[in-house]
Amino acid sequence: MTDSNRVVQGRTRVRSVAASATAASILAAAGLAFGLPGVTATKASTSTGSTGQKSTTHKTTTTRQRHTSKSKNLQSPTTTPTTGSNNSPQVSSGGS
Amino acid sequence: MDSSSTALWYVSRATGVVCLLLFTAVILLGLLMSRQGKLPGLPKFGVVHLHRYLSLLAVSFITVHAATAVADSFVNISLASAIVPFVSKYEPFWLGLGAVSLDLMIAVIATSLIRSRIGRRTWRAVHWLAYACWPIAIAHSIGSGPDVQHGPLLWLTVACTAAVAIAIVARTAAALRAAPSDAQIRALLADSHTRNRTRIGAAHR
Repeated sequence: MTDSNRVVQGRTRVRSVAASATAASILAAAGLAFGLPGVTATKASTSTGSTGQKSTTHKTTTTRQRHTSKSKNLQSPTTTPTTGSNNSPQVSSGGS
Repeated sequence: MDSSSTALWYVSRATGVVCLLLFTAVILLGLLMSRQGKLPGLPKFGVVHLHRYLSLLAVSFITVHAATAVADSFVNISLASAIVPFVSKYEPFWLGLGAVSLDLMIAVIATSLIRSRIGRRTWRAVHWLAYACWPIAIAHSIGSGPDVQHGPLLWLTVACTAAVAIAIVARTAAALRAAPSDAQIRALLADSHTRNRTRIGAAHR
């Protein structure tokens, strides 16, 4: 095989690798754009009441919800008034 | 929150992640090029071509990344804040890092495109900025993207960082091995000194 043939073959291979990289990038971007809403994070927050009772809240948040609460503070923390064993009201806040 | 805004948000995130992967590949290819290395199944010039091609592809993705972030009406990110660092009202520091990284990338790529006109020395000096640009982009993605702080995207970022760190260590080690030692330099100087004296002696005779 002559040198020029090798160069031509090399260029063809480089072009095919470049085309594959482009296709893979576009597919990855599309896949992530559709897949990211499914990427969820489970955060466990533990709060201790005045009576010493521990309650653990698991909250699943999507990236967009995090974005929402970070950017504009549109979402207030989940506030659930609960009553402890001594009948004094307790407020436990779920983490975002 | 309308669905188009949500779609723009996810497209911006997705293109950001792809940019991270592409720029990691560009950095790795650049380091491979500086060691005169080659990729299996490709000729030597293939590494140079791919390095150039992927950097331009990354710039096109970064354009989409910034454009969708600006177009997303949910948060107020101006077009200027995508280019001018630290002027954004939303997450000014982390978005500012993104703008710094983008500006450095533009400088690196623009000087590469006009390399023949500016000379190798200037091009090389500016090209060193790529080493600063990449960690700044990583900091931007970690700071501005909460989903990069945990889960699979965090592991992806860690993998990219580890790959680049290993490649830089290998490159530095190779450069140190290739550099002549003090003893070699002394021997070389002594040898040239002896040769000069012999030449001068012969000329006198």
